[in-house]
Amino acid sequence: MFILGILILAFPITAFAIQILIGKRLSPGGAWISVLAIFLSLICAVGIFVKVLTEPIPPGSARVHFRRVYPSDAIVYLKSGETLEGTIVERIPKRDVKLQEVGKTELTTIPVDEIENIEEGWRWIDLSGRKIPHFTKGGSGGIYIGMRFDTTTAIALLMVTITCSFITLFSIGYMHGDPRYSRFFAYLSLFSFAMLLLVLSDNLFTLFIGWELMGLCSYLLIGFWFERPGVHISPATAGTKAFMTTKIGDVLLFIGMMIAFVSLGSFQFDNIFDGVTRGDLNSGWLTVAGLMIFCGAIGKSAQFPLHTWLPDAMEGPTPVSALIHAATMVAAGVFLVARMFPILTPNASLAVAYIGGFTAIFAATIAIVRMDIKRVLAYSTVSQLGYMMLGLGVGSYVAGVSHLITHGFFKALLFLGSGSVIHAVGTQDMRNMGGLRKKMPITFWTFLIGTLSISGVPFLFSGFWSKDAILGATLGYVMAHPGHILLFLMSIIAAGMTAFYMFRLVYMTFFGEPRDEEAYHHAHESPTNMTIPLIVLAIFSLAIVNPLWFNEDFIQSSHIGATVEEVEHANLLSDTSIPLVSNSSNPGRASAESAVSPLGRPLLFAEATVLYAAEGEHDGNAHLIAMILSIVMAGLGILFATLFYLTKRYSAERVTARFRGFYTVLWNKYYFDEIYDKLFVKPLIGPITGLIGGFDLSVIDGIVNGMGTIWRWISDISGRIDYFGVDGLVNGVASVTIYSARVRRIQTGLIQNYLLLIFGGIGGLVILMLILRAI
Amino acid sequence: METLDNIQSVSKFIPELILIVFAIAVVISDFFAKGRRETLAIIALVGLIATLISVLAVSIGETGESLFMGMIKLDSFALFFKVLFIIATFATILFSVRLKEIADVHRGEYYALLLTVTLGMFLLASATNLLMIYLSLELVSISSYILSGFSTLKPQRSSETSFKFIIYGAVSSGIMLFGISLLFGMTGISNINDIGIILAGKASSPGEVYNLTILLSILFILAGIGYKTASVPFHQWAPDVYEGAPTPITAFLSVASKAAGFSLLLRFLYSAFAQPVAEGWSHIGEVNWPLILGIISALTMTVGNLSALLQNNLKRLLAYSSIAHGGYILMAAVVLTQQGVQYMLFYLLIYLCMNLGAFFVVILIADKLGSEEIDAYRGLRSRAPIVAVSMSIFLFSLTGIPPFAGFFGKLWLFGAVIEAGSHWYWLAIVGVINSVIALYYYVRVVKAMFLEESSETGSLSISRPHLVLLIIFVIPTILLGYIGQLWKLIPSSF
Repeated sequence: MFILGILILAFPITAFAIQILIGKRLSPGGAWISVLAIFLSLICAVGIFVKVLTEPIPPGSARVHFRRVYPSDAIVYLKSGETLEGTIVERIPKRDVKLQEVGKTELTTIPVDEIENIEEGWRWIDLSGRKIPHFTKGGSGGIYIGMRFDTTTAIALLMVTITCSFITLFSIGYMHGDPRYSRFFAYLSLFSFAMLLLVLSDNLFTLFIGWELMGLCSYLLIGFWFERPGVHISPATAGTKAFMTTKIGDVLLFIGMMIAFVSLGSFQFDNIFDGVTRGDLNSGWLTVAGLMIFCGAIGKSAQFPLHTWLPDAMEGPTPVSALIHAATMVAAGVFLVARMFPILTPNASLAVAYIGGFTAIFAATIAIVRMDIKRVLAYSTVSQLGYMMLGLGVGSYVAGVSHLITHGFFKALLFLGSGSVIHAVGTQDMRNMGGLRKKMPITFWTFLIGTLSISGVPFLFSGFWSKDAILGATLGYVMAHPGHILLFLMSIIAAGMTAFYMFRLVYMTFFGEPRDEEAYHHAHESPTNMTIPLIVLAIFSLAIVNPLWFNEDFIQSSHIGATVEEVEHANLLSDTSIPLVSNSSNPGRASAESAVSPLGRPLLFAEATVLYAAEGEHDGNAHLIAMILSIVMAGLGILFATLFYLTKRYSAERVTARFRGFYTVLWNKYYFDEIYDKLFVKPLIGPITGLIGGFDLSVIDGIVNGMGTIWRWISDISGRIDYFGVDGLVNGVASVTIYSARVRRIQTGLIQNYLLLIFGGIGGLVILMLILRAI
Repeated sequence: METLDNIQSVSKFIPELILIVFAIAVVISDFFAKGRRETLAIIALVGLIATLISVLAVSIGETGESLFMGMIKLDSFALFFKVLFIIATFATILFSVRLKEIADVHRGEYYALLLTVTLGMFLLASATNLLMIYLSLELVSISSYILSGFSTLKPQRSSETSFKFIIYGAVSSGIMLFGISLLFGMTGISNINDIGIILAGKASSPGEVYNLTILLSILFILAGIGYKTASVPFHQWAPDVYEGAPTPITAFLSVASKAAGFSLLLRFLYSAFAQPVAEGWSHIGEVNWPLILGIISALTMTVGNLSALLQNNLKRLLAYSSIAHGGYILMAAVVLTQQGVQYMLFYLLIYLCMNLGAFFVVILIADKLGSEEIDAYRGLRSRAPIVAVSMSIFLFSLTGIPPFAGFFGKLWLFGAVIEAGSHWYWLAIVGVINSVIALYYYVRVVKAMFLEESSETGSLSISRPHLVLLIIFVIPTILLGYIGQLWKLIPSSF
C-alpha cells in the first residue's frame, strides 16, 4: 500500500517537472503526459481503495492504545495504563516489535504478522533527546512524515483522482490553442500532487505543505489569464484576492497547529488524538486549537466571513473552477475539519455548525439572483461547503464526509457542463443563453443529472442521500438541544433555495427561446474529449454507482470508530467508577475539570454525540422527518423555479421590482466586497504599499547610502590619522615592493579603510563590552 | 591523552608528510610534464587520496594524543576537519582542471600551493600550542595570498586583490600575535589547554585576573581568527578577494579556509578561555566573551545579507552570502555546549556541499558564457536544465528551505541557540530575520533561471564528467539532513 501511495504522489509531480522544464518543446502533445500521470494515479487509488475495502481494519475495541514504532526504537516501553493485550502496534518498516511493560524487565516480542499497517512513514526531523522542553513532552518528539491509509483516505483519494483525471482530460479540449498551454498542465499536475499529498498525510505538517501548495496553484490558475480584463474583475486581482483572503485562514491554522504541536509534541494525527485523550491539552486550549484549525478551513472552504474570494476565483479557466474551486481544494477545508474531528470540543463544534449553517443559507440567497452561470455555481459551492461544515459541526462525521465526496463529483460535473456551454456560446451571462437543450444534448442531460443531484431529488441521485444525512443529523442534534433550532431551519430553507436556483439556471440556459440568436446559431456540442468527462462524472453522480459511500460503517471505521467503542466501554466502567485513562499523575486537574467525564476527562464532542445518539432514539426518527422535509423543500424549490422561469406563470421581474431593496442587497452580495474594501483593503493596502515603498526607500536605500556615508566619514578620519601609520604602512610596503598602477590603486583604494575598521571594530567591541558591563 | 615526544610522533604525522612529499612531487614533475598538464592534477589528487587513507589509518581509534611535545593533537575533532579539508581541496582541483582561468604555465605551483594550504589547515585544526597556531595560520594565509592572484581573466585585478589580501592578512595576524603575547604574558606558557587551567585557577582567586587584559587578548586573537572566518568587522578583504581570485579558489576560501578558521576558533577559545563543565564549557572569569561572539555573529550575518541584496554579480553575491553563513555558524559557538559544537560541524559539512556546488555552477557558466552576472543565468531552465535545477537546489539549501540539508543545518543552529536559554533568543531572532532577507537574493537567481527568458536560446553543452561532479554535490545537499547515523561521526568535543 505504501508503494501505491508513493506512486500516487510520484506521477503528478513528475508530470509537473516535465511540463515546467521542457513542456514548451513538447506542446501541444505534452499535455497528455499530465493526463497519463493522473490516470496512473487513479489506477493506484483504485488499488488502495480495493485493498482498504477488502482488508477492513480490526474493530475499534482493540485499538485502545495505538503505538507507532520507528526504526530507531529498539524497545518500546509501555506507558502505565497500557497493557500488552490492549496495545496495537505498528512498525515502520514492518518488523518484529519488542515491548516492555512498566516495572518489568522481560521483553515481549510481537511477530511481524500481528503488526498493524494502516500508516506508513518515516522520521523526518528528529527532535527527541533535545533539550527543548516542548518538543519532547509527550508525542514522539519530532516531525514524522508518513501516510495514512484509512477508509476516509481511500474514498477521498478515489474522488480526487477521478475528478482530477477527467478534468485534466477535459482541459485538453478546453484550453486548446492557449499560448501558455503547457504551463497550464504543469500547474494542474502540481495541484493534483498537492491535493493527494494532503489527503494521504498522516500528520498536520505535510498536510499543511499540501495545503499551501494548493493555495499557490490556486493563485496561479485563477490569474492564469492575467493579461485579460476578465468578466467581472481582472483575473490577476482575483488571484491576489483569493491568495490574501485564504492566507488569513492559513495563518490561524498554523497557530492552531502550533498549539497542538507545542502542547502535544507531535503533528501526527494519532499522537494528537492520543494526547487529547490523555488530557495533555486542557479544554480551553483544546477549543482554541480546534477553532484555529477551523479558521484555516473557513479560508480555504470559503466560509462566511472569508467567502468573498471564491466567486471572484471564477475568473480562472473553467476547468480550474471545476477542479479547484468546486470539487477538491475548497473541500480540503472540510477534509481538514473531518480529520481533526476528534479534537473538536463541544464549543468548537457548535461554532463550526453555526458558521456552516449560516454560510449555507447566506450563499444560497446570493446565488438566487446571479445572472452569470459560473457565479451561480460558485455561490452554490460556498453554500454546499457550508452544509458539510454543518454536518461535521453537529457531530455527524459520516454525513459531512459523504457530502464532501458526492459534492465533489456533481459539482465538478456542473462546472464542466457550464464550461461546455461557455465554450459553445462564448458568454457566461445566462441572459444571453436559452434553448441550448437541442443544440447540446449531452451537455444538457449530464447537466440535468448534476442539477437533480445537488437539488436533492430523491433516491436516484447521490446528492439526496448525503444531504439528507446532514439534515437528519442536524435535526437529531436540534432534538437533543432544542435551543439550536435555528441550525435546522437554516439548513432546510437553504435546501429549498438550492433546488430553486439550480433549476432557474437550467431553465434559463437550456430551455425557452434562445435570447441571443447569433450565439445560439454558433453553439454546438463540444468535442468528444470534453463530453466523455461529463458522462463519466454524471455516472458518478448517481447514487447506484456509489452505494458504498453511504455504508456508514465504512467511513466510520477510521478513527471515529475507535471512540464509539471506547465510549461504550467507558459507560460500562463509569458505574464502577474506574477511570479508563489513568490520571493519577495529575489528580488535581482531573477533578478540576467540571464536565461529565466517564473517561476521566471532558468528553470529546464526537463521543458526546455518540453518547446521546445511543441514549435516545432521536436519530432514527430524525432521519425520517428530515428526509420528508427535504423532499418537500426540494419539490417546492423546483416548483417555484418552474413557475417563474419555465412556464413564466409568474414574472421574476415583477417580484424583483416589488422587493427592489432586498434584491439590490442580494445583487450586491450583501455588500461584503464593498465593506471589506472600505474596512480592510483600502485602509491597509494603501499604507502597506506606502510602508513597503517607504521601507525600500528609506531603510534599504538608507542602509546602502548610509554605508556610503559611513565610508566617507571613515575615509575622512583615516585621512586625518594618516600619520598614525595606517596609510603610511601601506604606502611604505607598497613603495618598497612594486611601483605600478596596481599599487597606486591600492594606495588610493579602500584597504586603509578596511584596516581601520579592524581597529575601529576592536575598539568598538571593547567600549560595547564596557558599556554592557559584561566584564 | 598521552604526550608523545618528537621521535614517537613521526609515525603519527605521516598524513602531513605525504602532503609535503606530493606538493614537492607536483612542483618537480612540472619540469617534465610540459604539455600534459592534467598529469599534475592527477598527482595532486593521488596525493590527497593517499593522505585521506593515512589520515583515517592514523586517527581512527586514537583518543587524543598530543604530538611533538604538545604541539598538535590527534583527536576526532581534528579528524573531522581533515576529512572536510581533503574533500574541499579535492573538489577545488577537479574544478580547476581544464579551466581557462588558470594559465597552463602556472599549474605546477597552483596545485602544489593547494596542497600546502591543505597542510596548513591540517595543522591549524590540530594545533594546541600558541606558536604552532600562529605558524599554521601563516602557512594557510601565505599560500592563499598567492593562490588568489592566479586568475588570467583579469590579471591586474587578481594581482591587486592578492596584494590587498597580503596587507590585510599581515595586519590582522599581527594583531593576533599581539593578543597571543598578552596571553603568554599573563600565564607564561604556550599550550592552550594549560593556559585554560592556569586562567581558571587565577579566576578562582579574586584580584589575580586582569579582566581588561583578558578582554583585549581575546579581541586581538579574534581579529586573526575573524579574518580567517571573514566575520564582521574583519571581513572586508573577503568580497574583493572572492571576486578577484580564480573562482575555484574563491570556492576554496569560502569553504575550507573558513572551516579552518572555525576549527581554530572553537579549539582556541574553548581551551584557553573556558573550562569544561557537564556537556559543555563555561567561560573563565568575568569576561563574557560569548557575548562578543554573539554580537559578531549577529553583525556578520546582517552585514553579509544586506550587502548581498543588491549584488548583480553572482560571484560577489555568493561571497557576501558566505560571509552571512559565517555568521550563522558562529551562532552555535556562543552557547558553549557540546551540542552546539556538533551542530556547527554538521552545518560546516552541509555548507561545504552546497556552497562548493553553487560555486561550481558559477564556474561552469562563466566558462561557457564568460559572465558571472545574474543576467547571464536567464532562461537557464531551457538551456541547461540539469544545471539550473542543481543550482536551485543549492540556493534553496543555502536559504534553508526544507527538504534540503541546509534547512536541517539551520534548524539545529537555531535550536542550539534557543536551547541555551532566553538570554540568547535575540540572536535566534536576528538569525531568522536574516534567513528571510537571504531568501530574496537567492530567489532572484532562481527567478532569472526559471521565469525569465534569455535572448539566446541554444542549449549549453556541459560535458558529462562535469554533470556527474555536479550531481555528486546535489546528492548530499538533498540527503545529508536525513542520515541519522551521521551524528555519530561528528565530534562534539576535543
